Amino acid sequence: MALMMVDINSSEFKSVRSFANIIIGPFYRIADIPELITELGNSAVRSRQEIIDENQRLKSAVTVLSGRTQRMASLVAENGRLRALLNSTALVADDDLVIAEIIGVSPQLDKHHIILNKGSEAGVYEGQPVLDADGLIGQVLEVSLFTSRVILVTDQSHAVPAQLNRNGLRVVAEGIGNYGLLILSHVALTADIQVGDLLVSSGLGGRFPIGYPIAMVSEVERSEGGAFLTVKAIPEAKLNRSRHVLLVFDDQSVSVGGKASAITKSIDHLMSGADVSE
Amino acid sequence: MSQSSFRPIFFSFMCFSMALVLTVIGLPDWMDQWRPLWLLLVMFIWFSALPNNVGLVAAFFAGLTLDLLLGDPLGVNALCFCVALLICHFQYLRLKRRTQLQRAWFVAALVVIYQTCYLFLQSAVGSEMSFSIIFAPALTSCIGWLLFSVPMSRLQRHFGVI
Repeated sequence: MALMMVDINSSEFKSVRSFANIIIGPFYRIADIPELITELGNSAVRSRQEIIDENQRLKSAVTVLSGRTQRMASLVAENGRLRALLNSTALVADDDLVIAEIIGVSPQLDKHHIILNKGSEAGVYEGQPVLDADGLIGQVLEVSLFTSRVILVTDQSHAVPAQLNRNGLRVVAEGIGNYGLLILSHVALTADIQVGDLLVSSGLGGRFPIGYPIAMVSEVERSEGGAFLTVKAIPEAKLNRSRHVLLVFDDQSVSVGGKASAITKSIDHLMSGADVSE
Repeated sequence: MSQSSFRPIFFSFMCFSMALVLTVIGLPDWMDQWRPLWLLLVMFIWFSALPNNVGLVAAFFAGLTLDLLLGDPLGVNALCFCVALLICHFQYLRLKRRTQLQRAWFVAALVVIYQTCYLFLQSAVGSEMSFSIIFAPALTSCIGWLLFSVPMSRLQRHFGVI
């Protein structure tokens, strides 16, 4: 009992726990072996034609994406310039992304946790945002030397500050313990929110960087006499299907209320980028 | 350390490691709630073989490892394991005279008590869990006992544990 209370309430105890967590890595890695064998089997029995087709598809996807990225670079630069004109802080910066592999999933249905194969030795820190190719997955909960535990956005104890991409309406997207559903709480009855609206992270709270897609609004219900709308959204990320995730190292990006030096550095960086593009 | 004492220790270590791996091994979503409590099952198998050697300290550390593995607050599973082992010790003399099938029912009851304790402690430390976790693992652990108790006791004899 005393141990439980100490573990929950004391922050100094975290280092003890993170040290003890080293032992869990091997168990998750061994438990991951059947998955690896299936993957290996799948890749070994594919035909040459399939591989050529996939290669073709990936090549065209890369071309399309790099085309979009080029436009993105000039838009980021323009955004920086306009924000600088408005004496406002730059919000978008290049984040460093590092790929990590999922080696385990929490066996408890009520906990949406995943275990990654990178830990403090790779620079992972507590509270670090985690993405996949389609959107936000969650944040790092615990770090040990070689592994880390990530809590997903759909866990029932997790909420993420978001905004609508269409009009910037600020909301909070809460998990309810279902991989395919997020709930937006306390949305005013008169709020302009529609089915199909994209929710992106708002950067408020200083934990998640701004602008990553989180979910798509799937249902808006106006209940008679209720004080708020009931809004449901479907997460964009493939929460229980992806094998690889991206860890965001956002020491360059600046959230609302960030450090002044970082802001000026970031603006300089963007302005110089703008000059080059002109 | 002599050869004769090394083998049983190695075997018990392997058993508990295997149970921990099976606890976190990936299963399809619908099977997740039917996962037996492997570590409790292994502990009970060892308790049946060597009741004097499986004590509260061993149970506490087994539970502590499980806490780390599942990301629970340290001590939740450890306390549940201690409670389960105390019940085993109290019932030991009665258990000795029971058949395999009756012991299987005891395993099911033990799992229900364990999960109830776990649910209580989890809600006490602030995380919500559903009641569905109580009965499904009890049934599968009970089947697990029937399947594994005889092969395990043969293996224990082979490794010179009993």
